[in-house]
Amino acid sequence: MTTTEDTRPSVRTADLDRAWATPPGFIGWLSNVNHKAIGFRFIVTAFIFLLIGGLQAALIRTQLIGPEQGFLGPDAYNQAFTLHGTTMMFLFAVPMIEGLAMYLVPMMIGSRDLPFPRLNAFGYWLYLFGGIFLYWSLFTGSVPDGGWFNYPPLSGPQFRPDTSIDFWLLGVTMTEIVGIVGALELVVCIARHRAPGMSLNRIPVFVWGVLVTSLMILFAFPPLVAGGLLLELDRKIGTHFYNPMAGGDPILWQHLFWIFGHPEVYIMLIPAVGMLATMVPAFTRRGIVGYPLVVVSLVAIGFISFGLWVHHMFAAGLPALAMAFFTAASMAIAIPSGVQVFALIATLWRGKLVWSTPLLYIVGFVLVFVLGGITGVMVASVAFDWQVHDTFFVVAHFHYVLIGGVVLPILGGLHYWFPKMTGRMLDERLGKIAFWLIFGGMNLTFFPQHILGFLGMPRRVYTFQSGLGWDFYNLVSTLGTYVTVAGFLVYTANMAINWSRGRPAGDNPWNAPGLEWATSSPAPAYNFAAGPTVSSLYPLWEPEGAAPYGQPGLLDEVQGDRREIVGTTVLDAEAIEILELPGNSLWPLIAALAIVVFLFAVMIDSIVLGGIGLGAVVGSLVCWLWTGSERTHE
Amino acid sequence: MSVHVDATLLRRPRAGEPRRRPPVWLGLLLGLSAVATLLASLVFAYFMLMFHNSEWPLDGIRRPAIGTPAVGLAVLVASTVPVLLAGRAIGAGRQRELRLWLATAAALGIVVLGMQARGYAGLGFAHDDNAYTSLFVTLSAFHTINLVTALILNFATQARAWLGHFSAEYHEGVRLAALWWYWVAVCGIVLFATLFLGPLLDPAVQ
Repeated sequence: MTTTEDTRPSVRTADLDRAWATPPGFIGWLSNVNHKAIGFRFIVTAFIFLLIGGLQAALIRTQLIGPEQGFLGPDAYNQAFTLHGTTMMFLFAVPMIEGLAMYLVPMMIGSRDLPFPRLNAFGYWLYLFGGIFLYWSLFTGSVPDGGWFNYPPLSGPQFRPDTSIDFWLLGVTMTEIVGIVGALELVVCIARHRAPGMSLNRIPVFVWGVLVTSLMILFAFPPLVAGGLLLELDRKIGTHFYNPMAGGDPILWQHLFWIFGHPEVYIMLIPAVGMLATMVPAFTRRGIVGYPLVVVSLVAIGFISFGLWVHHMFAAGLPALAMAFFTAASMAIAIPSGVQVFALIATLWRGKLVWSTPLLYIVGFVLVFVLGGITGVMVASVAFDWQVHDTFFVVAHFHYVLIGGVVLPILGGLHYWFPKMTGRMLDERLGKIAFWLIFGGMNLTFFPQHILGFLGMPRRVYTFQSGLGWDFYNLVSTLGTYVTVAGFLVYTANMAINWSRGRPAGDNPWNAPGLEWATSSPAPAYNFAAGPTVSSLYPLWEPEGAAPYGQPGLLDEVQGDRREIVGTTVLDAEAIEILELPGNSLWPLIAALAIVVFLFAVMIDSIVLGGIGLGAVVGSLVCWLWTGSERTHE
Repeated sequence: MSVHVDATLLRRPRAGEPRRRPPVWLGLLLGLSAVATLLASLVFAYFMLMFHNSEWPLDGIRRPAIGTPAVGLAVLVASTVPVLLAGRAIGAGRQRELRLWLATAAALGIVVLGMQARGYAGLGFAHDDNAYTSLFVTLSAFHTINLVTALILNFATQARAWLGHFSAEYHEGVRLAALWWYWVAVCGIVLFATLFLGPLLDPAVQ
């Protein structure tokens, strides 16, 4: 490994600054479409939802601290675990990952922005409004309480005639649409806007992960949109899709939900693992071991994950042959998942370790995710699953997978890329304290839940009786939650304190090899004053024959006020054209607001408001598309 | 291995030059795959509930007649030809032809819409009778919404064509409207097969 000196071409940036500027003031802020601004808003909003979801977890565990507690009561408990799961899955995990991807991917591949900046802004507003919509239910008194899986008939019109489930369905559908539009533009960006020279074998693992995940989102989210649409029709206009009394079947919901729900787990995991594989070279001072295998197995996980959904329905009474198939597929996915873990271990083994905080998160991932993976192989077996189905064993299993496979990588990634976003370093001592509190706390919380599951404690019950042998493990589990909460407080304080007062980071504080560090931290709106070229997977370590800091003459002159980016070929990333991006716009915000008005009208059964909302949706989309990109340049 | 881009060779799109498909084309195809998955999910729901029940249609409702919907489908498929010709016309810079073919496609689309409206009026059942009628009405409405969207896009494109927004090099708006129109035709074929031919697969019928 050789680190290159910074060979940034001297470019007069005044014109670039002008072409990429955002108008001042609040309206300017609303009309901003730059990928870093939007990505950053996604990250901050998702982090706030993470804290809210964590608070709900603390409420749930406080209720279960001992037998027959009256802290929450059955109704509030149902609402708390419903909002906890919904928030973590729909409002934290996917938006956080897409936000990080939106912020980082263009820089990692040497682009100036995402290809459809206005669509990006539209996604953020719809996400924000979807989240507010869901939480608005708290002020109406009818809070969703059907679980994050929201099974009918419990969530159907017969048993839940109030608006609680409507809040859930419409809010979640909005975040699904956000996921789809974000995925679409990330795929196009990765396919067509990589730096010249970044052929498929030089794409950072995180970018590969984002690509696989985005393609998965395009095929996994629509089934839940369909399922949600049918349930909302059942609830609103009296259709019978899930009503067994009129030829419907509630199992239909379970299929549509889990055809989305199982890929969803890997939609979160794949980019998170990619994040670790992209960070690990900086802390081992060597490249990732087995890069092609890691990438191929990420793609394999993406494919196999679409053939697993029925393992969530082993107790629903399906044909034995189906269950045998899904058992086999569920076990098969352990193989490519294992490749990821072993590649990380091998890299750590062969590397020269630098024990900074992000490395702790990488090691933490390996430990926690492997434990969750092992219990995953256990519950993949129908015979075993029937024993522990709907017990705390399953709760322990998926929290190990999700905290190990998603939360720890995200926390490590935020610590790692914080200097990229703010130009300041996080405090290492506070960072390590936060890691140990979170890592220790989550193990203390969830390890005893395996045992509780074996002892027969069911999930989703608001209390339990004494004398069943459950008291001690529940107490430990709850204390563990408090430790985790303390860890998150330290983590958040670390960011709040060092946001503006941290040690200046310089451009490449970790001496990392990725292209995102080849520009200033934080980067200017246009990322690179001159377009970079690459000739390696680690452009800042082995730059022979390329110009990772920007090639003089490549896009370093501004034509008028145009925001221009390079278009490259899909496979070999050969530069073929220069494309213009649209500038700031308020239409995305207006279109998102119109959708909210329409869905709100659906919820309160107002035909007039619905008509206005629908008209506004159509009108704003037509106005948005009116100019298109048809500008002729003579 | 050396990577050096001769920036002077990179094309900025310019009037009078043929143009390759822009990245937005890939974006449209990806968006369409998501919408197609939505349709596939609805079709899945139809067949799952069909095989779940021992009679289909439910409650003694007669199987829907195939004749009129087949004619409607034929008109819809035929309407893709003027859409195709509209794209060819603007590709060669012929503005008047573009407007003509877009208007022809819209007229055919409105005919299909009218036939669908008559179909709804003569159904003889309502969406809230049973699971079969719920599926029939919802899947048909899905197609109608797609068709109306295609018509709105068509009208917006016609307006822009009159204003002279498009040129031989720049006509993404025409492409978008055309792609959505083709999609409506595909969607029509799939839903015709599901709603009108699908019940013939019912084991109870054979």
